[in-house]
Amino acid sequence: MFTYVFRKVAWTALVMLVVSLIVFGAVRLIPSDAVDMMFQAESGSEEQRQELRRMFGLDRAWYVQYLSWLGGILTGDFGTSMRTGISVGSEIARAFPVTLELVLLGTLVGSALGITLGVLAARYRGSFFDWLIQPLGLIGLSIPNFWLGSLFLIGVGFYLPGMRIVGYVPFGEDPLRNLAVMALPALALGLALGAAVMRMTRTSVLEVMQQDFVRTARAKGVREPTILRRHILRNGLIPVITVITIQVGVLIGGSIVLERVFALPGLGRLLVTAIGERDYTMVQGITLVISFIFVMINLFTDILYRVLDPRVKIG
Amino acid sequence: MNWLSFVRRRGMLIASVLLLLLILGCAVFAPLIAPYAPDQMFARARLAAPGGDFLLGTDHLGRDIFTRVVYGAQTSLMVAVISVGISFLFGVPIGIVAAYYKRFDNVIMRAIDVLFSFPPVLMAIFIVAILGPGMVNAMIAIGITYIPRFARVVRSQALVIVEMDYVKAALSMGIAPVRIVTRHILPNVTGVLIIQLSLNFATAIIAESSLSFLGLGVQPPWPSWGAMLDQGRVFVELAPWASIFPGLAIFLTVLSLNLIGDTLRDIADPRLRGAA
Repeated sequence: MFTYVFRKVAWTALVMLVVSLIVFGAVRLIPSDAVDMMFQAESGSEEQRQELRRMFGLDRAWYVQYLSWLGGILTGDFGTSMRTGISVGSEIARAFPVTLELVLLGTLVGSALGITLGVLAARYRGSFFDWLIQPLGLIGLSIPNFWLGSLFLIGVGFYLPGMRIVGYVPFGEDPLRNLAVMALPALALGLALGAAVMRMTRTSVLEVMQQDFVRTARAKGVREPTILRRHILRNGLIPVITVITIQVGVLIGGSIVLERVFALPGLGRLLVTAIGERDYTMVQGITLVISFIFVMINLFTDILYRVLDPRVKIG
Repeated sequence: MNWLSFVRRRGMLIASVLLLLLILGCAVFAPLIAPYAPDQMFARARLAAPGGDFLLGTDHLGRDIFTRVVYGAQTSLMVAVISVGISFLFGVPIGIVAAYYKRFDNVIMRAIDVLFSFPPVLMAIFIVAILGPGMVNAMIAIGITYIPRFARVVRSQALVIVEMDYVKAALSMGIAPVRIVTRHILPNVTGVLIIQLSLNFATAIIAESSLSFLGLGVQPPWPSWGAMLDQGRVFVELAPWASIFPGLAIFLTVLSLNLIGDTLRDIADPRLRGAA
């Protein structure tokens, strides 16, 4: 177990290193650098440009720039925005909790909803509920979350006029108000995950229910709730975790878009603004941080997978 | 499968194929179907409610929403076809090379693992950030983003086939790799590829509308469902129709594609019925 975790962590660190190299390298593919862009309107002399490049360290070799950028990030310094002069790290630190909360709440809502409905559909297979839930699952998978978010806003405006649900409040300041504001975005974000999880749970639980060991347990006289908990769910939920892992990537992407619908001041909004202003230091930093969240969730589920299923081979 | 669910499945499949044909028809015959030009503004009928002269109402500039939804089908389908084409043209050869030449397999799969550590929409956004916003760059970005998916699906299927006796027999007869790939491997991965294509179309349409919604894809005044949703966002309480109908178009297109993909998968592998 220890070697497994160690190997996973080491691989994850390597992946993040390569990701940082890609993010850094890709921005350098842009033909004009930040200094050129600054001078787009007014034409500075070549000496002025060189002076600025030296100031920003853009005259150094690429690997020196990369290493100093990476070294800074490891100590929490993401550099300063070349457009606004603001520290990228502090902007990211302010937006990070919003996106993280949205992603975590969305994952939680989606997983809880999906597993519950999936188990129920499998348990009452062929019932009206089972019959109803399958097309609903496909619908849930196909609704674009930003449209769903807009529909929620329209619904609230229509049925609860005067209720303000936009305007973000940090959790630390007013937990109840924070949750009230985040509830609809989290639901809009989590529904697609819920649909995917529900479909997988249903299939997987149905398959496990037909296994010999379930029949044996039942023949031994093990009580139904125990069979469900210890035999069916323990085995049936393992492929569900895989689906959650895959879908969390989609969910993180969705949160970037959804922040715009609900005017949440998260990383997504910061990223879109930065792209509009061609603030590449900011774009690099945010891309790296969002990938980091995703990679960490993957690492966590990989280890969870291993804990839950002793049959999984190291590899 | 009992007869009831069989009838329902068949019915839903036929309905979704028809719906898709309808959307395709809108895209091809947009000038004939739409009552106005997509950028025609009616200054006196800004944010007009659905009905009367404007079937689905008008937006904040007084443009007919029905017209723009019809023309939006052109944009969405074109972007989806080209970006899925890019993923396909690069992903399939990469997957086959990985499966066929074992020495490249490890390197290719590790590279793909790294690409999978970017959440897909983030990757598309990042590529657009580098290339600059716009429709063509959005196509390229979405295309690149989903290359790893095709590569992975093709590889896992091709790995099984490479081990088959008939491929080994062909190898021992000294048949050229190109011929083995075209005669033995490609025909056997067609099934999974078709399923992957239909599901990926759905993903590409969502990705395009997401990028356009963020202002990074199709640029106004060009009609795109995602961009229309963004323009309607500000007036969501005043004129909900400006948000409802473009989103409904995205939803119905994606739903029918997913349904077709699902049904094809059930036919290909009944064991996976209902799997995510």
